[in-house]
Amino acid sequence: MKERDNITAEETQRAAEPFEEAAAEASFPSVGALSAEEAEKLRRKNYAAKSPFARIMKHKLLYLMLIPSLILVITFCYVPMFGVVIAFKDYNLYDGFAGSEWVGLKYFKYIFQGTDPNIFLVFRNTIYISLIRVATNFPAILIFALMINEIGSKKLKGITRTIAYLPSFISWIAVGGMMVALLSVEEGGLNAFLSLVQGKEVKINWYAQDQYWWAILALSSMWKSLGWGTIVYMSALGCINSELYDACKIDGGGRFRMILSVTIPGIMNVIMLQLIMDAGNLIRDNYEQILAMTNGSTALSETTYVVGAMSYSSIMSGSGYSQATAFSLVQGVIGLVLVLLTNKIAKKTDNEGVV
Amino acid sequence: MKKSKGDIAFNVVNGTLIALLCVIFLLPFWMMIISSFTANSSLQSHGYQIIPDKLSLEGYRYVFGSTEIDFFRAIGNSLFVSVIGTVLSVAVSLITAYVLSKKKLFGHKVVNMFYLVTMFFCGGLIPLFLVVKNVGLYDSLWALIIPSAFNLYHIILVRSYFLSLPDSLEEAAMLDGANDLQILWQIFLPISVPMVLTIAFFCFVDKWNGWMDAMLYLSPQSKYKWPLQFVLKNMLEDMNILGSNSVTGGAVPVLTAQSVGVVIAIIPLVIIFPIIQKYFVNGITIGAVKG
Repeated sequence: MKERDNITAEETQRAAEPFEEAAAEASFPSVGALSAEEAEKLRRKNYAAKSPFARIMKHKLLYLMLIPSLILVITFCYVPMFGVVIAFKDYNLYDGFAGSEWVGLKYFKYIFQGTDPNIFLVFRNTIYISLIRVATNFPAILIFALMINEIGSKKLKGITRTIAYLPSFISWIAVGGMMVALLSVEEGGLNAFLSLVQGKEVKINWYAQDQYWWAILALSSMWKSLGWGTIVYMSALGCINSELYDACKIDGGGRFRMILSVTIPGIMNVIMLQLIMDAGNLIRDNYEQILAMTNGSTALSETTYVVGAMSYSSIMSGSGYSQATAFSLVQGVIGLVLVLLTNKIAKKTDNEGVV
Repeated sequence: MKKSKGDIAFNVVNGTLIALLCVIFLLPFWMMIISSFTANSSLQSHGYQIIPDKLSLEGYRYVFGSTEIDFFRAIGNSLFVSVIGTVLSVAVSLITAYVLSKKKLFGHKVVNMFYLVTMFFCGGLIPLFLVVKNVGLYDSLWALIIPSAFNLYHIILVRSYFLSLPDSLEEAAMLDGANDLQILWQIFLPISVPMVLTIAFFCFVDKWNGWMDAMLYLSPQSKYKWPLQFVLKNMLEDMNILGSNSVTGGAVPVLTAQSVGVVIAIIPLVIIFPIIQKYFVNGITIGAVKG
């Protein structure tokens, strides 16, 4: 017990329990041979390796370095996570968070009973827009990555990549502005092109025809992400053993054979990873893109009104917070389930040796 | 090795397709730049053209001379948000990634999990909006900087890079009596330049292109705080209304002005991108392989 007196009061107080454990464990047969000071140093060193508190104190600077990000994460990620309880309340701005009345599952019942045809529409749009986007963009990006990989000259490869990456770094607003040049009725490039091909004047008002917009959204998404999307495959493509290609060539395989038998198996795990990520995207809506490209046109809302739009319009109008939160909660949970499900499937197929 | 006929055919088809795609990637940029320098009357009568027939600066004169839209102010706001936001976010990512890469740390796994959880669960837009409002950031430019300063993806990228560095680097510095901040600043930072430039560029692109946060967190009344992209969005919307109205539309070079807006919005990135690209592609590759 005398040993403990040497330790500062503060330390003893703050780490009493683990300290006692450490003290009980530590045994120094030659304590008597050392001076009191030396013994204390040795003990401290020894305790530092054992008790959690001492281990934390040893790297206290490292923990202090976490403070900025901890504040950010707690304030802007964890607090909002608990904020989803407003989906179970009748939240309004006057009563505030605590004062609003509990309504239980009212909004979730409203969503799943499906009495309101708009709910069906919102979920249909959200899923179809994402599904069409993922179903077209995922294979297109993979094929484009393979195409770039087949370019022989290193310089040309570099130039192609630079050009292809460019669209992904401009804003959706800029893309929206570009789309006006393509889609406007009188001056737009698309109508001019169609007129040329069909040999008669075409004047389609694209901004009033909602049936085209799922395709327009998917294609503009593809234009923007085709190049940058290949980046996930690039490092894996570079890691494929070139001897495999030589072996394939000796066996008489052509270029397509090589792609199918060497390249694709070589990047299969990256393809799977990408698929898992995209699965989560199936229920997520790219509302930023939709809003930037439709310019908030009400003529298109039949096919372009999505779950994300609800949250924004409720914030803008200052009402309907609870309902919109309930919608995005359902959306988030479905997204998570999709990711976990695909992850499981991918692992299963892995084990069966598809890769 | 001699090339077979099939090989040559493959290369020709592949090369043609890629060339075609490159044209598709670049054409919209070209069209925007050209139409921003074209007279509005020419655009109205001939539509958007690949080669302009009547050059004019009326779009630029209109946009920068407009009394309704202060484009210089908007560019200033965007630069403020982008530069400060990038510096802050990169600093947070670096120090957090440094700590998370220390496996010797007590509670290493728990701390890592604490951050990783945010990848899977998020409160969603409305709870986040309420938090931003309650911490007093509403209608401040800091609302576009602080809530998005934490970026888990960048932290993971840097962390995997730090993990790939040899331990001996750090041990040597430790023996010299350097503390963790000094090690990060004097040893890790200089050798991580490509990685730092990569995430800095991503941050800058995010902030420069962002406008949803401005729409949510800035009051519709305080137009002088709006960043460029949000000003541009409102301009494009107004122009559409103006353009469809032939009476008011005549006085405003609607089509040219739209293109000018788009050009201003994309020009900084189109200039920075090719310069910084050689660094960041390496950065991504390193992060991906070791991750």
